[in-house]
Amino acid sequence: MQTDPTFAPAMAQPAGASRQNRGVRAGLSIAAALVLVALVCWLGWGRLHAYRPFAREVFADPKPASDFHLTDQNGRPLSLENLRGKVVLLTFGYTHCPNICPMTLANLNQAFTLLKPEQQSQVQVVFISVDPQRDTQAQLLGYVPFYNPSFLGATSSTGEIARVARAYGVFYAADAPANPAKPDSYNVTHSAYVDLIDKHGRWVALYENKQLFESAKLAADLVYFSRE
Amino acid sequence: MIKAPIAILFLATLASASYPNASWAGDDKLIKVENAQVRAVPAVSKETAAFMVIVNDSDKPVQLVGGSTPIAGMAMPMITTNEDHGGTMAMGMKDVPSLEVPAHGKLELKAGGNHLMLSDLSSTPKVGDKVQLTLRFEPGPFEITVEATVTKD
Repeated sequence: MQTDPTFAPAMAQPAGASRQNRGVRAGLSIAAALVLVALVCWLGWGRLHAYRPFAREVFADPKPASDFHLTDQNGRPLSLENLRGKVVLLTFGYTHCPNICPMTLANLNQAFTLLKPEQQSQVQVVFISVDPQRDTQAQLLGYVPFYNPSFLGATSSTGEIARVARAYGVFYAADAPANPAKPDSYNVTHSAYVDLIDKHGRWVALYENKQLFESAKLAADLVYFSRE
Repeated sequence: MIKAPIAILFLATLASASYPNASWAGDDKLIKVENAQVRAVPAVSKETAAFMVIVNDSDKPVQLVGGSTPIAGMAMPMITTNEDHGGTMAMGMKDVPSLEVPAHGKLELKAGGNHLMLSDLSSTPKVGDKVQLTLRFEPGPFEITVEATVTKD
């Protein structure tokens, strides 16, 4: 059977054109959809894969970290300004601390040791004494470098420690002596957070003491903040 | 026929489970101390802490009430506190008369938690050293002596 030659092309022509148009339109929508999917994926991927610091708190609007003027274990003046360009991990404690402070410093050392030498040079651990009465410069010299030779201990004979502690929301108070016969046998209750100050001198994050056991995650944060 | 042995067994169980005045009958083989460690500290430190796991396989709780070691003047059971001080959390320690090792349970003494504080150190424990540690328990009292390893981390 033969189709009508005049009829068939007449029908085929518009049908073909419309199929072509439809094809182009479909192609465009597929392309548009692909672009959209790619965009969403890229954005989503970026979001998902943006580094999320491990710190318990990362401040959305970090404020300049309160500076201090203390003395380190070598008798040199220690201020945040002199540490600008480094990531500073700030912790408060005292050298007669039997449990928490050795743990804090040992854990910070663990994380620090995971860094490459060039990364280590970007990080400074500062241990501020909340017991300046017993923590003299000599006492700090015998204590802080034991955990890591690069760590700095800080003390002061003025009211500076009380002011710095307040600025970082640190509570501390001496307990009654553990041995009543020895007035010097007191412990000090103190906040045991670790504050992270970025290289621009902003207080950007806060670690819960027990988080410090996760040295690899802390080390990753230090690498991240060293780059920021 | 089989009633008598059961009764004897029952009485025996009863006898072993009820110590007069709750005093410990000395079955301290059921109390085991595992993984005893002393934290290494620098020479300027006159205090450190001992950590371990004390396992109680008996039917009765026992209390760790203290201890002694040749390297320290005092060994005190301590708890670690984390309390709110006007909106700021602060960690501290409190000496307690005893720490309980529950029946068929364990007591974990660990860094940042309950521990045995060693104070008035007469010598500086160095990493790898073995430190003799005698733990005193009640009721009893009875003592268990272990060798604790000095560790830094």
